[in-house]
Amino acid sequence: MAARLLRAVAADRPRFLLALLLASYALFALTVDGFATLYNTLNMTRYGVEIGLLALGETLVIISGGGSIDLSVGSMLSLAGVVMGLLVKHLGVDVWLAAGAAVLSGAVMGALNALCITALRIPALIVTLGTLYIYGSAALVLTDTVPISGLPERFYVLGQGEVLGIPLQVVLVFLPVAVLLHALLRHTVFGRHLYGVGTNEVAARFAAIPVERVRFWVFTLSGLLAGVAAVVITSRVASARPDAGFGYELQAITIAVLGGTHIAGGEGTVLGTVLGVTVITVLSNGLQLAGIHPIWQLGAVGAVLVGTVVLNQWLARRGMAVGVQGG
Amino acid sequence: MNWPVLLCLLLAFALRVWHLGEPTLTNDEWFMLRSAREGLPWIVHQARVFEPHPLLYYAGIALWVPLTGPSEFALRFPSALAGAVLVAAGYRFGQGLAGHGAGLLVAALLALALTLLFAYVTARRPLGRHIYAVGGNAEAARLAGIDVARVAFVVYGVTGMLVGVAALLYVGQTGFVQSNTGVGFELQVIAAVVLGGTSILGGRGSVVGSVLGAVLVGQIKNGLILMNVSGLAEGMVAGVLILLAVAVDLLRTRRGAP
Repeated sequence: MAARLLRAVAADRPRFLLALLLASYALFALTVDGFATLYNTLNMTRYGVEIGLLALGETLVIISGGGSIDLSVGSMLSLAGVVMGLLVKHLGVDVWLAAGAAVLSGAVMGALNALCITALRIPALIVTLGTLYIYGSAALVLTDTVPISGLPERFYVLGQGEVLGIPLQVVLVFLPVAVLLHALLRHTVFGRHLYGVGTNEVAARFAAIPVERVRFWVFTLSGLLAGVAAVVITSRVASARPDAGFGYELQAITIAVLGGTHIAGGEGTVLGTVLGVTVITVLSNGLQLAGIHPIWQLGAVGAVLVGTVVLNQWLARRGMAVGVQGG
Repeated sequence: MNWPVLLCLLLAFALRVWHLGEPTLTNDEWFMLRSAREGLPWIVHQARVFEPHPLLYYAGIALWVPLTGPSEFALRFPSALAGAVLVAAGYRFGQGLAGHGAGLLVAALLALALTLLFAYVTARRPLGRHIYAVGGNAEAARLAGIDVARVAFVVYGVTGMLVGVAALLYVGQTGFVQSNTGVGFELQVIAAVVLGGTSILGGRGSVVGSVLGAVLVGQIKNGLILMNVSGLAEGMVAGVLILLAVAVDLLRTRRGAP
């Protein structure tokens, strides 16, 4: 009985992450004062939105396989936020219009990445490594490293407001985006093409799947999601920081992989990545409330990441071995 | 020269000379002996037709052997003595440079030595060839009897060790230790390696290329500072350069391939 349950949980990453999520939530609820309150539980989701959006973009990119990866998401976030701040402060554009422009600028940056990758056929890792520097540096040059603050107050509702206690950006941005992407992957031709391209590029070509076009769109989507994340973070911290996305790229990749996305492509789900980012959010919130020093928090989160993947694979392999012997 | 160093050197020399004559002669030492017997014209002739070897050394041996006889000890003693004397001379030379220059010299020599060592290992030793084989096609490498996991273990281990060496040099240069030293280096390092011609998909690349890539990145930084370009734009130049370098390389290789 216990063995069968273990096998069922170990066999797939979302279930495993769900179990981990419940376990860590229970652990913090029992040991940390003020963790399991309704307010904290709902409010902590606020801090997972931006990195979650980036991780979702990364999930799409990595699924498309062929060494696809997007290292520039953090820099795209920074630059899109700066674009928005500059439009509002220096050109007097309406703040919501500027937010739309930020999302669009993210999509344009993503499309530029995509063009270099699909048209010039430069490996994605190199292109996005190059644009990580270019976009990040552009954000710094445009602002001279000074954060742009003093945006209209009404804009802050997106990142700081809530409805029924749930942060607004979760209800209005993250959940709709996750549902849309889930539908895109599960119920559209594009989604099937994406998994096809990621699993076997040659077979996909023979099946007349437009491989380049699929990759073009995932990189563009990744940029677009970085633009959305830029709007959310700018609203939450009430300023457009030119270094807002610094270091986010590796976190986003890690969360996508934690969520069960195979680094070589072809495998991965929106649900897994959402669970992955939830686990990380719960962990950092719990550790923070427990008063653990930030330097230890970073190490603890890293240990959980590596531990999860190792344990999951070990359990899955053992479960399979037991299954073979029993069957 | 101070006494502890001299003592160390003498001790090392004594240990080297102790039992020096014990192992029997190897091939190379037979060649030394033959050179000593045949004389200078033969030595020069051998250097031209057989293999290039240090003429002065063989000529010196030819003068030395008639004085001492052809014993193992006598044949090996000049090398042992020269080793000890060279260490002492190197120490004196380093003392003359003491101060800022000496540190740079040590860093440069260390970098040079490591480069030579790694270039040799990757190009000539089985381990190095195994690394290329695993990178080219891990499955084929496994079927060819290469222990893929061991290669991975070694390369990650060596990387960690080199990070330790880099940390030593960094701390030696800056003179202080900070817990966040090296944050963001990982991507700069990848950029340097990629600029140096290493394939991101594995199986292709060279140690010398990576060194040149790192030098290039350093030169760009230095050049931008000298040109009075804002440090903020550094990333833009580096990024464009990475893309250009790789694009040019890809164009070149694609034209070569059918």
